Amino acid sequence: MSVTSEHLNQLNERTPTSVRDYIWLVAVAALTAFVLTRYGSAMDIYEIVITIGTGISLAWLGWSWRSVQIFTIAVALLSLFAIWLYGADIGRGTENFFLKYMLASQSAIMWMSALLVLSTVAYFLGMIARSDFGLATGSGLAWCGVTMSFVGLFVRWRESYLINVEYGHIPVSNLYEVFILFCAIAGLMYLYYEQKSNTRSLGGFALLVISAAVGFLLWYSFEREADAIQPLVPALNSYWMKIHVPANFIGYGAFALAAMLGGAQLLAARGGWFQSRLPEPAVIDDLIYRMIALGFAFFTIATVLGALWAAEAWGSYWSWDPKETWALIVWLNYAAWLHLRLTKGWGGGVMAWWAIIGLFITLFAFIGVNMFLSGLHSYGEL
Amino acid sequence: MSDVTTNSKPTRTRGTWSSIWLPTLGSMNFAILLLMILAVASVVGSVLQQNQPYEDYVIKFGSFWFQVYRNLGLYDVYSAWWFLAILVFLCISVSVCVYRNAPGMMRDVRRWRDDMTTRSLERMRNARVLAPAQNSTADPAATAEFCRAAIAKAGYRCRVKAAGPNTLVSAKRGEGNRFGYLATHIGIIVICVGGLFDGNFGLMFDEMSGRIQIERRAIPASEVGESSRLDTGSSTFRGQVNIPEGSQADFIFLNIKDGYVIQHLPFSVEVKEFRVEHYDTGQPKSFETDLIIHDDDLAEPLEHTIAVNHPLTHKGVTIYQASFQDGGSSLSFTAWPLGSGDRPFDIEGVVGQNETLRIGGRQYELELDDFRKFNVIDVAKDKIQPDFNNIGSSVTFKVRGPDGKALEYHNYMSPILVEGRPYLLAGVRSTPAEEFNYVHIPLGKTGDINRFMSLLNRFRDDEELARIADGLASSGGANDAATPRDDLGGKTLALLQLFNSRGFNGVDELVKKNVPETEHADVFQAYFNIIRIAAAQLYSDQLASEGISSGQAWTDDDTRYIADFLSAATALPDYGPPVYLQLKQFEHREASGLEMTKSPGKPLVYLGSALLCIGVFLLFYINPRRIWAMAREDGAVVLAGVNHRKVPGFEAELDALRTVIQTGLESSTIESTR
Repeated sequence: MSVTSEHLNQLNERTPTSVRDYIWLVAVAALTAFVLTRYGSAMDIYEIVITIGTGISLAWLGWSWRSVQIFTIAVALLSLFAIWLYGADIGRGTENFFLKYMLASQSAIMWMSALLVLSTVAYFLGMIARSDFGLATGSGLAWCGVTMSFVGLFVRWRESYLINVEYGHIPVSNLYEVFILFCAIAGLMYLYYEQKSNTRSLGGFALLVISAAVGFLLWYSFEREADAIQPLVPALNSYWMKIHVPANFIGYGAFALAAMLGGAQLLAARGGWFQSRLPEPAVIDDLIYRMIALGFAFFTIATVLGALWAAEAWGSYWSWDPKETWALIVWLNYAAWLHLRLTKGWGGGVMAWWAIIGLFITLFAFIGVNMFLSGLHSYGEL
Repeated sequence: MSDVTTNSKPTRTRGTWSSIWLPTLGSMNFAILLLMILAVASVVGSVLQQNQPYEDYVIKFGSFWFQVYRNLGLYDVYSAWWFLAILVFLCISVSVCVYRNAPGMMRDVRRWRDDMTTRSLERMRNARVLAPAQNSTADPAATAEFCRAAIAKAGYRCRVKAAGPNTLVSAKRGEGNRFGYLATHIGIIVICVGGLFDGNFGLMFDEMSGRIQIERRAIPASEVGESSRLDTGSSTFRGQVNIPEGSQADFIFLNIKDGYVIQHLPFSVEVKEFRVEHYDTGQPKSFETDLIIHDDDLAEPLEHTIAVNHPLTHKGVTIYQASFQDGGSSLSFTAWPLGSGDRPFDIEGVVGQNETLRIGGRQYELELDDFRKFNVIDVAKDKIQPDFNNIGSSVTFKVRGPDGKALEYHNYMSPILVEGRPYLLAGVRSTPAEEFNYVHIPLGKTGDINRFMSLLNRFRDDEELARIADGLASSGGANDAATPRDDLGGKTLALLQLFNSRGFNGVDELVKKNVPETEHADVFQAYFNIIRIAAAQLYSDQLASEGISSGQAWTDDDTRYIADFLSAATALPDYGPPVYLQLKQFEHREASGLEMTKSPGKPLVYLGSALLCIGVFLLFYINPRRIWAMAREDGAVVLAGVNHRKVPGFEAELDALRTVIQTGLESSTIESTR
């Protein structure tokens, strides 16, 4: 399956608007309004703003990417079903059949892990055999895996309140939880570009990094029992966490995907076996650019949000804490990459290599800082 | 930046400053070099822990490298001159870049570029001449109108203009991208300028020029000299102060290098109460302080509660909850002289103050350093999933002898259960670098410390020991063939006294000195048994004196107690002054650690950040491009375009337009539009 730049053109174009899209907008607006009227009294002003912001983002996302509509409905139904099954009793997680084997957050995460790893295998088999069926299977499994990751996160969010109302918090507060978030966001981002660029042969590469995250997640929960829900430390108890962390993980996810595509680009450029199975190097090149641009934009926002939060929690918007410093290093690295790409038109092997090296810098900022350097940001430990 | 295409290149006069330096400073290569240097320099500061006490660095690097690194400013990299120089150069580089490119860009945004000639279009890389149908009768204006419609449909804004006999359609799209460039780069400059405001260069300068002296002694704030004080007029600062409950302060400490200066505040802060709330697991849930701001400019004092993530801003000074410690709790102890036979006595003190302690005729200084109401420890050490347990209050203090040497102690107030049996934990260490070594004082089943102290007194009483030793010798309990029988009592006594003065370590050394190596274990075991039996007999006497009949059979508890007694007793020779301070009562008073900052640059930094965020999206998601279609006199169309961003997709867009226009030219579409 080969792709020409014509396909890429579709990235900028939208399928014609249909009634379905308008229904989507109305539904999201109605749902947001319902949430605000029903639960608004329990929210502070920041949470109301975040709720509205989420509604707008979701409306826009579904409007510009139709698959998100069905995806959202699936995630919502499964999550609500699990929450309904739980009722007010956390104990049902081990009694109820559906919860125990499918929808309790731990089970959902296990399903996510299995589905994403299977998806990686299917993608690779599909690529090797040049089988559209294999690739389509990979894609389907990836969709299911990402669905379960979001369901797992939402159910976990609810579970934290069921265990103890005081513990309740959005599950992005420690290394275990953000790894699930990474799988969810990176998976969804890949699926977006897969659909828009109309090529599935890069799936194995993209899912490989997600599978690596899954591997870590499993080790972390089985070996270190990191999957238990913990109450928040006071420093994290802030509405900023709800936006700072997810924004950061859009960045991390995009950078990770860019690096994997960088690997694919280098292989495709070597010609021969890989070339016949992968898109043209120039096409991958462009996808790398899009990933890094997206990641950079959100990483910028995340860092700025982090600075705003730091000003509120630590007394200074910038204190050269190791995590902040490494965020800056990551930012500078990709800023340099983008300057060369955009103003000098660099591309090809050098930039692909650079994208791969960028992943290691990002990885250090993400995990290395917590492991090797001490500072204010020590929320995850190994 | 090379992506700006302007027709009128700036005229350059040879040799002027700006003609040589501006291009270098503003060049992309220089900027990227600076980005990378800044990244590498930042790594240094994150790997080497910053702003630690200088002694730590000396220990880590040795005195030679300590000096070298200090001269390089590595202990505070982000304030080092060379690091700031990189930042300043980056800022200048970006400014020059904006200065050189912005005017051209703004012109470019406004212009239609409708001065293109057929020639100049044909020379463009992607130019194609689309031939008309053989029998075309279309005039350039009609063809141009057709092209305009096609290009406009692709999302471009167009302008049509006659160019001699031909007609030119100029089209453009995505000018927002240019604003993205401006917003991101100006945003970064604004952030840097804002950061500069908050960078406290005034203080750095005053310190270097000697107008401000750094205070390095740990002395009360009131004794700090005038030259180490900053008045309330400082425009920017960041410092800390600990205020005990019920007290107030109108100054903070600014840490500089290996010392500090005092910064006075335009108001006074009183801490009414500090609170820690806990989850049911014992983990802290929140830290809060009730503050009262006393300010002559306020009609009445301002009461406000701050917490982590919820600071208070008054007169441009933001007050944060940063830490907490003891603020002078009142403590009552029972002092137990260890083995001297003296009566226990009471002693009281306040954390942060010193008391005099008399033991055995000698005078010691008792320095009460810290008191903790809760000690929540993680008993599941190897797991991420913690298991928290509150083991009660503790006190940290030093006992300083007449020679000035001090040992540090850490005593828990409540008994701690180890394998179901209660102990009082008394920790001791000689330097802060060590871990505390805990003596476990057994309380036995009764939970009473008196039994231990009485038993210790008996064991330290030479008459008692002599009696026991003689008894042991005559009963043959210490059956040692090598020793004449009449000397056995004296030897046994000496052994017990050795244990009293040096513990099992002393006994071990004795054995190693006097006995062949092959017999070490056996002899040590024999000595151990003697000591144990002595302890057991004294224990039995102790029980009798407590009115417990000696006829009762001993249980495991009794055996265990004797073992615990010996474990504690063997550690006592290293315990320092022979007294154990048992914490009996406390009146808790905490101090809230407040951080206060004044950062006038903050609004600028936020403005810059907003510009940066908006700019990044404009820059990446708006693709600026232009297309020209020249409808020639002969009916052909020259179609060409530019795409500064070199993003693929534009070629496809052009291709699609070529097809549409070519098809139009070949069919009768154009005539029908007339």
